[in-house]
Amino acid sequence: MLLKFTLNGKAVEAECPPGMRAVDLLREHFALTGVKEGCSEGECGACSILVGNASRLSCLMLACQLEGQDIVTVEGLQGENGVLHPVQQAFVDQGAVQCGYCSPGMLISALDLLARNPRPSRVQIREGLSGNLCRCTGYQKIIDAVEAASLTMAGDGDD
Amino acid sequence: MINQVWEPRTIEELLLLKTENPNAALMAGGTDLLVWMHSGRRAVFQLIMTGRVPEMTAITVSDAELTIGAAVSVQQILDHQAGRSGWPLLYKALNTIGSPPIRHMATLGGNICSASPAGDSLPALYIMQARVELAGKAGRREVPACEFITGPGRTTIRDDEVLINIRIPRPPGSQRFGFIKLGQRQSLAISIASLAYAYTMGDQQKIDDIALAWGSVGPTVMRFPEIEAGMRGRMIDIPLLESAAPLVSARVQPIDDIRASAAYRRLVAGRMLYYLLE
Repeated sequence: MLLKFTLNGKAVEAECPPGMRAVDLLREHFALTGVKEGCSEGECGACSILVGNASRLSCLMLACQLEGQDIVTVEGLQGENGVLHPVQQAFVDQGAVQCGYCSPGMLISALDLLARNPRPSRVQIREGLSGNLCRCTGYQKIIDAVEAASLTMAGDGDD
Repeated sequence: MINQVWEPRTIEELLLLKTENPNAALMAGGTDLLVWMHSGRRAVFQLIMTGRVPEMTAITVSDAELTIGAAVSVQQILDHQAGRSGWPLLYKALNTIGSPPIRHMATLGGNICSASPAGDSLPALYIMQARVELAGKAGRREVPACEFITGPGRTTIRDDEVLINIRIPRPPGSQRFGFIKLGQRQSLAISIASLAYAYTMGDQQKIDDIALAWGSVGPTVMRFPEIEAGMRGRMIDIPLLESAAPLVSARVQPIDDIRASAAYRRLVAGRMLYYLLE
């Protein structure tokens, strides 16, 4: 089937077999390997993407569900000139990345959270990230980073 | 291996596809189906996606009841102000499903049709006397949710039928309610035991009417009318709950599985009643 959708701000087309999963289309056809497959069953969040403004798990979506949608992967977060998105910068500044495998999913979930709730409490940040597992960091610096990003994005940051 | 996917845009198209292809699986959010397909638990060759059918993706509120399309996402239900304020027990239960992205994809219709003994929406739906509306070759019919689900993974849906809507009567505003879910984690957890409760108070702080429903401690949601009857007219206090808890433990039918032992579930099913003191 032929699919047409918006991917990281650009109109794209793709031909794919009917049963292909979204994660496979994004990784294999579009080479967007920032979308990770951690568990294949919706339990880890590493495959998270934005569909419209909402996070979804691409390992539990068929490619045809992308049709007509506005899709953002982690590769779409930075600016045209390579400037990191405030959430990405906050992850760097706060030391929230170790192996990096959970990071794309964490960033996507953070964006979903901040779109719904621009000034989340730490409890709300935990809830917003509760679909993403991290084996390295113990989560604290990830929560610090999302908190810092929310301040920056709301205009209260140091920058 | 899926070799055919349809995405009907109208209810007529959907029903025609289902009657012509009785072996086709239906998919809305896919948060159970795609997991089963990946693990090999279900072999699916034809798939009918329901997410673009207007009637199945609508929520309507009237004075009398809440109607939720079977393909409405859990998050859309949670975001619906009138639904949330009139049916707060449902809101509490839905908030325990999966995780944020799962709630953006999963549907109430799917939670019902999957009919897991651990389905998080189910105890609340039973207490709230929810009904499901099905459409098929023989037309439409409505069934109480508690009669629709017959066992683990089993419902009375026919091969040519599609679950279209869930209808829930408006509960009394004075009702007190709660939903407790015990799991190994606070999120992304399949429940080990759960309890939905709702009651109204009469004179002198005595229970007027009460409904209790347990999940994950039997093949389907469990209710015990005789225990409920015994609580009517009584005050909610420790003596009442101390006498009721062992009656619950004696009646539930839990199993041992990777999440918990039957013995633990049996014990905790009774103990969860103490949450009524909150």
